[in-house]
Amino acid sequence: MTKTNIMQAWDGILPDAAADQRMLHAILAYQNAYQRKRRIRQRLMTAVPAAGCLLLGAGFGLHHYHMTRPLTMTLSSGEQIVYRALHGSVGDAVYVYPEDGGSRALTAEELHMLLPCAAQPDPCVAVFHTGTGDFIHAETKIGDVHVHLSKDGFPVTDVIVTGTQTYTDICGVPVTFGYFLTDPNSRGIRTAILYASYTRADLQIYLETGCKEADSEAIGTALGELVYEMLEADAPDLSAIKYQG
Amino acid sequence: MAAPDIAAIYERHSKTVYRVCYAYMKNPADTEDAVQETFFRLIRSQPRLENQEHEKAWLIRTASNICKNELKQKRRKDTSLDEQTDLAAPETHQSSEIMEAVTALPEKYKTVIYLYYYEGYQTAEIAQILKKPHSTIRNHLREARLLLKERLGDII
Repeated sequence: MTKTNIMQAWDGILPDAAADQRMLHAILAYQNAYQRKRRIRQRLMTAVPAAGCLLLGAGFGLHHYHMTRPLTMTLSSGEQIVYRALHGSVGDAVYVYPEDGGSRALTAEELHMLLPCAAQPDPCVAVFHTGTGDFIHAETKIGDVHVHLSKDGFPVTDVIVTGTQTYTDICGVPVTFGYFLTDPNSRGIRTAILYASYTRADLQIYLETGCKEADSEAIGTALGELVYEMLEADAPDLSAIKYQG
Repeated sequence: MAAPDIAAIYERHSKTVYRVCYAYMKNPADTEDAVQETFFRLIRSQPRLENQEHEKAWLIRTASNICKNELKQKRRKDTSLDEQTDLAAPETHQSSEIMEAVTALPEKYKTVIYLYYYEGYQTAEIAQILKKPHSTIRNHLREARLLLKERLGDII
């Protein structure tokens, strides 16, 4: 049997561009709806035991303070950053991808322009508006830090902090630093989720990383250094990144 | 929390998943549904995928299972629609005689033929991907080749 004949026969079996976009759009929409549903379920599961805990009352104050105290760190540049504990509720971002949303991989140069830092971000695929060619959203990682990038006005992540937020000014850009702690695991260890977010030149950036609670100071400082490094560099130019269908 | 980068996974493997699904479904509309369902299942089950090859293997296996189930359900429904002969034939890709012969193969052979000839996997690797004994894959490949030869003769 000629392998080439079979391969050539399969080559023609591809979705057309419209079908390709339709499928991607449906899959992204499904993912958002699914995550939203899952978060609501998780919140309900934690809300019931939480209500029970409130009844206990005594001894809560000190524990609560421990969980919600701000973490203050000093960067090598001398800047002081403060991670506020997440409080209030977690809301749902509503992603509305355009019907004609398209995607393509970002080049290393584009990634460096968006995330100007010494460490190389992981390769990633970005979502674009095919009509205008405008960048909409991308997700990647720099080491252990998850990075979400969105055009201003589009939800940057599926987690929205609705509690009181404060800003730390870094290189003239207001940056929100925050953290929250997970419930202890079976060995009593809690995980700290630390995040930073800011908007610069129409680009919203959300960075998030996790570590053991005991390591939160070191990891929080490293995240702060990464943010500082990116804010020291030139602002990204989103108009230079277009969809090429 | 960070979710799996589904757009990147789609970019990497959508063509493979589409071709696997097309071999079963034989028309673009049903193929599209099957591809979407494959990725929906990835979102729902969030399997621990160690690398891109593992990711691809998971998607191929899931896609072929989804198609087989879908065809089984369709066959059940179709028995009650047998008399409706005036239904429009579904649109298909412009395909060669070889492709038609491949899609006409019994279901159990299709993924094996695709993975062996198009993706270039060895039979041992296909056995791992489809989680079937190596001997079964070798037999399927031999039987599929005979059927294709019978049908296509000199073309291949």
